Amino acid sequence: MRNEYRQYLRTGAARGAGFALALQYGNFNGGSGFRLGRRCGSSLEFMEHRDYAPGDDLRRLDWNVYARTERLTVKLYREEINPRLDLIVDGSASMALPGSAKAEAVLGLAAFLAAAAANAGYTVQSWQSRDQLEPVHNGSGDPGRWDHLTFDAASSPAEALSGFRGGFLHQGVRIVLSDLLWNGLPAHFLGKIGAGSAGVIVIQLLAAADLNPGVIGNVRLTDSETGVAEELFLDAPAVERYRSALARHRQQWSNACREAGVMMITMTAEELLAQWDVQPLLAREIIRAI
Amino acid sequence: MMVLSHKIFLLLLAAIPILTVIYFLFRHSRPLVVSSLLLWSDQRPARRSGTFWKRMPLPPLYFLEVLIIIALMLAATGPLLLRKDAAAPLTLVLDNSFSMRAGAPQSPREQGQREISALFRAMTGRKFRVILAGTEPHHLGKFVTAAELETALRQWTCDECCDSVDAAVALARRLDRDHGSIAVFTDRIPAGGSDKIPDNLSWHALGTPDDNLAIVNASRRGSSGHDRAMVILANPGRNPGRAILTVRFPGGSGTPVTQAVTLEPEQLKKISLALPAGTGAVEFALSGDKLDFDNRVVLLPESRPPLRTSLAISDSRLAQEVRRALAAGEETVLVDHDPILTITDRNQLPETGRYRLFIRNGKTGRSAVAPFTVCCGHPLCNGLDLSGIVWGVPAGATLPGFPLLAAGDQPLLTFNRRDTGGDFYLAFVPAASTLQDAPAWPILFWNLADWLNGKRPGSPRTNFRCGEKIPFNSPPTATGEQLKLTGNNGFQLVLPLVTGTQQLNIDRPGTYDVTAGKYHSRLQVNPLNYRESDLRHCGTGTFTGERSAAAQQHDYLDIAWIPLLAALLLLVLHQLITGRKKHVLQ
Repeated sequence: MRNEYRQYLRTGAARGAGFALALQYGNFNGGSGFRLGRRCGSSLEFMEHRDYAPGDDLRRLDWNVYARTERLTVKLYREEINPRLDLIVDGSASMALPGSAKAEAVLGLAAFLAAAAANAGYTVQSWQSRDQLEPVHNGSGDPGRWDHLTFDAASSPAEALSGFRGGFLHQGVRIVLSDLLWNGLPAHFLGKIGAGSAGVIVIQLLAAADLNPGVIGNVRLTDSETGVAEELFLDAPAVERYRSALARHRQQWSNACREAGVMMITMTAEELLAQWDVQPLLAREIIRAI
Repeated sequence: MMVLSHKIFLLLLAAIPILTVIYFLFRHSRPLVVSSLLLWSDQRPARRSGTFWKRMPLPPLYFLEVLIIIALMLAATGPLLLRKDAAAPLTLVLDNSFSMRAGAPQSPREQGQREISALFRAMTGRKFRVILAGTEPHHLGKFVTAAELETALRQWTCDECCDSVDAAVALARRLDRDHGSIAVFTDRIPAGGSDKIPDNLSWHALGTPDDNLAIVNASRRGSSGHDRAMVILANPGRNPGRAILTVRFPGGSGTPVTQAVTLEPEQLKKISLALPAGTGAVEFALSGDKLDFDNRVVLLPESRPPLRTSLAISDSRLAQEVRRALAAGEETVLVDHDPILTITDRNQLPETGRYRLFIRNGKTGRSAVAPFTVCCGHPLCNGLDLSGIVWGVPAGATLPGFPLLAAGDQPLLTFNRRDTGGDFYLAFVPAASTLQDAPAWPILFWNLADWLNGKRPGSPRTNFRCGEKIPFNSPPTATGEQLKLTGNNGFQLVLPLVTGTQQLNIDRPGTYDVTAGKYHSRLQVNPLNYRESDLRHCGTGTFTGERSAAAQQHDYLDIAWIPLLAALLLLVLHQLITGRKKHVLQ
């Protein structure tokens, strides 16, 4: 792994030390733990009363209420959970677009989120999508010690996920960090990534060059992942057509995320690294300052 | 054959590389790596994408535009097409002097033959006129086929002693009224170099500067039992030359003699040879060098007898002065009967001779001094120097005839022509003159004897230079006969014999038998010309003059409209293609 990548991991982890993941999903199922879940459990934290229903544990009947009201009432307590986070980092070659800061930004943001998740008591497991979805070396520990992270895969995360059989933390939160620039049905990808999860967040990280190519004239465009080249003549209308296509692509992902109940955020790599502005994450209450 | 009248417009071809650069810059694609081509699928393809033709480094439109540029350039240069039917013939002026043989077999003549053959092949169908520029221009005619031209070129023998290129060019211009093209093939570069080539003339200089030893003059003189031969050797080169001179006697009258000669650059060396009486032909030959033609001369014996002269002078002093003058020249012999010239101081004389010289001397006289009036064109006055002469004139002397020499209004020497000869009248008083003590006195008598000798039948000399005008006096007994000239080089000439003197033009060296009735003599013509032997001024190169507008209009057809029309058609095609492409893109 390149040294500057490690530097950005450390920087991201340091920046994330002041934040905690603030996800309020109700389907966490991490077994007994130290964090209160949103469902009923067996902790000492009172949650609510409700009428008795057949099948309820008789030991939970609140006899004092029955004495006063002659109604069978069950006393519920909050469950104690152990929250989990799976960080999936896009390892395709497009994330290391020459002239952009996408690779540095995605590593920094992943480390940032891992640090914030750790502050919130999450168990973090990081993954990188290459030809297969592979766990990052030392990916459950300190982000500064993550290793073997490269961005040279020719496969998209969707292709990497298609052959993936399990491995994600059950009922954990999954955050996907990618530019989402591949050809495929977003719903299919989101369905697979969200299966068995407590929630999915997709953070689209684009380079400034992705948003605004800004080239005029004859260009020989080369796909960073496939190496396929194409000669195009670009003028202002052509660039505008590109922007429209990018907007449609993002809208397609946005719609799919909405339908799948997935939160989607778009960030710009260069802007993120310039000032570490995480306002989009704060605004969407993904993190909170501590 | 096509020529361009405005070659400066060939510079328009520079537009082609400029167009190529523009196309290259316009079609050059900058490399750019993108995250994915997914979002670029709905874009206009670059100029160089698509089918094979579109992916070529340069599109068909480029080649179309190049063709347009070439067509416009051709139209601007004013192409002219040679009109084979109406074109004036191309005149070949061929230097026929012997210096064209230098360096054989790679002589200028052989190189010229090859160039003419190539020229003929390039201009098939055009008429060629051939003029040999020897001693005089010889127009050989116009030829169309290669065989005809080949036959004509066989006469290009390069065996004349001088060239007449300028006269031949003038003749060619006169023949073609300045419309025809002239190609000169010679071994010398044109005077004034390439800057002074006249219009419609191409000058092909085929020579090479070289050293050359040559015999540049030769003569033979025989009188009173003495026979002398003289040659002048020259080294018209830049380096010292050494050769072996061999003297042979073709008649077998002596054994050959050899002598080594060394000449410094531009040095002349005179070699005289005293020959015993009765010696026949003498041959002088130099050892070989680049030019063999000027290395050999043959001198025949001069067989002209002295002029038979009789004296009838009563004044003893005058007689003594006349005898002294005649003896100095060795051109006369005094006889008592049948003289050709009679010299007398009497007033009247019976016509015993064909020519008479009357000397009016008198007892007393007056002295006449310069200035004298001399008839310079007359042979009697040739070389007559009267500076400081006091001429004694008898008192009251009147001389009949045409004055040849006068002092003021007093004629001193006159000539009166008669049918069978002529009378000379000389006013001369020795006691009052210094003329008899000056060189002019024997010269006057030598001139008289030489002139009268020259009027005898036949030629005055036996040995001549090549190209020299040879006077021939018709024998009086051969009236109505033909003059036949037969050379040992195959030359034959038959002329009607006219009364008096006629000029023979013999421009090829050799020994000639001259026959007129019963008269027979031999002449020797030798190749002697210092200028032709001087190879220093030879050079190589082709110098071409401008083509005059009149000649172009006469010989060529203006075809500028063809490339112009082609350019317009290509422009229309270009517009159609570009318009169609725009429509497709829209």
